[in-house]
Amino acid sequence: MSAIFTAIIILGILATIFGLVLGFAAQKFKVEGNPIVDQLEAVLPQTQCGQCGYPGCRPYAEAIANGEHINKCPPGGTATMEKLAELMGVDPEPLDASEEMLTKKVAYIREDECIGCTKCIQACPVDAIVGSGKLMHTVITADCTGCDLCVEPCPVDCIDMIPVKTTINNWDWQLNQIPVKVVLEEKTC
Amino acid sequence: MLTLLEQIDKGNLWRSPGGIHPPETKALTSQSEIQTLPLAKEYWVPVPGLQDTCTLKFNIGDRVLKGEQLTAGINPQYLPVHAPCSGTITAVKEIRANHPSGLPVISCIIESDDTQQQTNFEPIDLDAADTDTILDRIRLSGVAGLGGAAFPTHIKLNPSSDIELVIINGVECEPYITADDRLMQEHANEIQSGIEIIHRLLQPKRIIIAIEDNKPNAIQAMQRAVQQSQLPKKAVRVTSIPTKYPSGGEKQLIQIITGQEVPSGAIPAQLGIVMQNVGTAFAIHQAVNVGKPLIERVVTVTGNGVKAPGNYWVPVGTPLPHLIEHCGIIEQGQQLHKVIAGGPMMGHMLPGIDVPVVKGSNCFLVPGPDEIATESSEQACIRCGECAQVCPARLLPQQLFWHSKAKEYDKASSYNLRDCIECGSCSYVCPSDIPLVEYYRKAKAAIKLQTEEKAAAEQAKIHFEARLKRLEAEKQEREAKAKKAAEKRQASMSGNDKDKVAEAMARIKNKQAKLKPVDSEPKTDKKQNVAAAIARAKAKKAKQAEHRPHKGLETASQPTETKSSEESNIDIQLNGSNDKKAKVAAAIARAKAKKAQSSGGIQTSQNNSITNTPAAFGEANTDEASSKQAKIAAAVARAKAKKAKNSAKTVPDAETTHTGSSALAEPVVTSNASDKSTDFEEKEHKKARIAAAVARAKAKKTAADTAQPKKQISQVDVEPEGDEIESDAQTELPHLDSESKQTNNIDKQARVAAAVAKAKAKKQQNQLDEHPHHGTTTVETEDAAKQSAEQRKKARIAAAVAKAKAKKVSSQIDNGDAES
Repeated sequence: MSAIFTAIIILGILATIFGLVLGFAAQKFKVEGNPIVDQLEAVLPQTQCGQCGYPGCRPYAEAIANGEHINKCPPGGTATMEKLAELMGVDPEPLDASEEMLTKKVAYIREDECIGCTKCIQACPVDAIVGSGKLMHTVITADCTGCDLCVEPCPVDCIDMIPVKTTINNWDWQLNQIPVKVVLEEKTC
Repeated sequence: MLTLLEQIDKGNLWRSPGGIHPPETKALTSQSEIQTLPLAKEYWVPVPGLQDTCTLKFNIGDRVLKGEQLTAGINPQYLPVHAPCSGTITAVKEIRANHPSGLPVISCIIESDDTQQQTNFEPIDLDAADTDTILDRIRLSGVAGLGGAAFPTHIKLNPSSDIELVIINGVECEPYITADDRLMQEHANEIQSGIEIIHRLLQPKRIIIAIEDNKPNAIQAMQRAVQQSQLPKKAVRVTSIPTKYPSGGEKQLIQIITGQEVPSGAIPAQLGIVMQNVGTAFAIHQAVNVGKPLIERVVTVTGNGVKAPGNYWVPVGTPLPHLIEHCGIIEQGQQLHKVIAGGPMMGHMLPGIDVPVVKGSNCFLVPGPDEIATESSEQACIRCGECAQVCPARLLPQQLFWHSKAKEYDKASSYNLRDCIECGSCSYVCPSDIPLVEYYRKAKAAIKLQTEEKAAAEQAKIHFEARLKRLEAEKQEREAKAKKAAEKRQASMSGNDKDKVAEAMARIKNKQAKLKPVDSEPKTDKKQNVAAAIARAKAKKAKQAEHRPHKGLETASQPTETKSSEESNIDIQLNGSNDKKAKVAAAIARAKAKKAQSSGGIQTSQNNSITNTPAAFGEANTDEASSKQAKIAAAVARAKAKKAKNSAKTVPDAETTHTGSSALAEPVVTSNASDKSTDFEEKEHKKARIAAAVARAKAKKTAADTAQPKKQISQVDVEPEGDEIESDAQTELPHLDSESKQTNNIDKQARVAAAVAKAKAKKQQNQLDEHPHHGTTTVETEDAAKQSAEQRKKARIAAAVAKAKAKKVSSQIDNGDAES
């Protein structure tokens, strides 16, 4: 009989100790937020364009973590969608975007038409437009994410979205894409 | 155990892994001296980054001298571009780049003249000059690595770490190319003085001139030059290395000379080693000791496709067609179709030959028809492993190939794709003719793009978050400011002020509390009034209903009667609309009650309204006050008529369109209308409305007159106008009669009339508002002043009632439509 009591007491003490340890660990090593959101956000292109219907990349990452579709990021393209699918363990879905939306573009302000209203500056999520009231604005091309959020507020429609030109610095080495003159070759032997 | 330097001194060499032994084919050009090229008509000098990292120092149309600096950089590390000839800048435009992509790059077109005037080349006095001066000269002379990569030399010559060993690369392992070979043979002493400058800048322990053993003449020439040099013995030595491709690669050569492997992602300077091409050493000599910038280089033009293969001093920017024309093309069928820039192993096919010679161009290969293997189709990889054996970077080309082909770039990266030097050995040995290097290049470009995108995304995120933070901070700042201001205001108030404010607040509260019961009392009064008014109105109606049969005979000068009779008529016919009518009546009564209150008493006002309305037509001109009342009554009547009609119309929805018809219908209608029982109601409405409108118009006019005493004199003129309106309306009546159904015109006219009336009412009100003092002080008597005040009130009431009724009517119309 005493053996049973001893066992109960020992087990009880052990349970208390482990309970305390676990409780402490839960407080000490508490994980803030959902870690998958950070991973998802890291994959997203950070254009902050809102084309997904969410006000920025982070909100969309959170929405994906909560079961939103993974195919709503045109700037990221198919590659991003596939990465998201892999992270979320879901099947890849065809991208919810037209071909035109997938080409990278940057905003360009036709400077002689700009009236200096600063509306585009306020709209730009990444502070890529410089200018001041009643003075001409211009886009810092290197910082522009091509989200086209500045196009809508412009009262004089002087902002164009220009596709990024391929130069020798960002050429993708697709040799067969170059229009090479096909010439007849004399075969030897 | 010997130290590294001792081993180097002994001439020890190490083996580099991999490598191949392709046919050298150097004999085509290695025996002929370097020739100078005749002047080209124009030169195409690429100025990459124009308007971005540098600016052009000249305008289009300016004359430039040979060797003049064309661009000025914004960055202090910028490597300027020089004019290769004297002449005129004719254009700055995009031309095809000397690049496998063939994409356009902005270039400066210089049309050469025959003078070939040079700028003053000023040599630097080496004994006096310090390191920075020399480095600056090298930079301003545009000296770049002439081995092919064209990396700015002044950066390489100014490393952050100590340099123990400098290797002068004269290996030139690539087949066909003999430019460095010939340069060493012909200009060994200049190269040696260049090496001395490098020695002075870097102070290395050893300088090794590495030359492949297939260039014995060059080795001899360099050894002779080294012996004549003023540098300490042992500091410089010429080392002959075994011929193997690609031992001329930077990392491979370091491995051969020192046995050390440059770690992945590192540069040789981290090992204390710097490598310079012999051509670069020559250019350094030219820049420092002669003062001549890098405007020309030795280019090998070779291959069986040209008649005169050889080495040429070619100004940078020379159009390739000019160079090849000079060498003479051997006709291959129709035209020249293939030019390889660089050697056969690492070079690339030019998409078009209209490109300039650039600093990195060491060779142009124009192959004959049987010289280069015809393009064979790619076969499947048979996993023979040849490529792995020849890879000088000890990579696994097969794995890289699989992953690159599958676009699994992260996996390709994990196999150290970035360490691939693209030497082409793997492609050379591949039995399946797989263009492996092409796959690697694509993968590398894609990885580079991905990395850039990732960096851009990271940057964008930082910007975005910074912006959010800023906006939040601004918001908080604003709030804090507002709070502070409020506190300041409060603080600035004295104790008494605070008490005063509190008192004021208390007073306001008290007032509000008082006002509430006050508000509620009149309401009850009003309600009672309304009830009374309804009762009265009904009684009236009943009375006037008796008069109805006679109405056809009666003149139109009794609008109130007609109205009420019609109302009673509706009452009888449409009991269903009783509620609405009751409401209408109530509203009218309320309005009347208000009016009555303003004029002194309910009873009197009612009497007035009843008695005066018939008189409106006859007496309006003379009795102003009564005309006002008449107007009000008329407006009420009109509104009632509308409402009644509308409520009647809710059932026959087709006729709802007529509800819009208003004031212009004439009194005369009644006679005919009484005959036609179906049209009766409508006509009655119209009649009533017309009467009302006429009455109102007259009332307004008179009111306006009273309000503006000066105009009173012209009252006589105004009255006839009123009559005219009336008569006009009457003349139109017969048409209405005959076309009783076609009321569209009339509708319009009615609307117009209504609008006019409204506008007049407004105007009148405005006038009343504007000239209250005039009215009381000038010509008018006190009675008139009182009258005008009364009239104003009445007018407002009438207007309000009319407006409210109009609203109700329209809502009823809507309801009727909905019901139908």
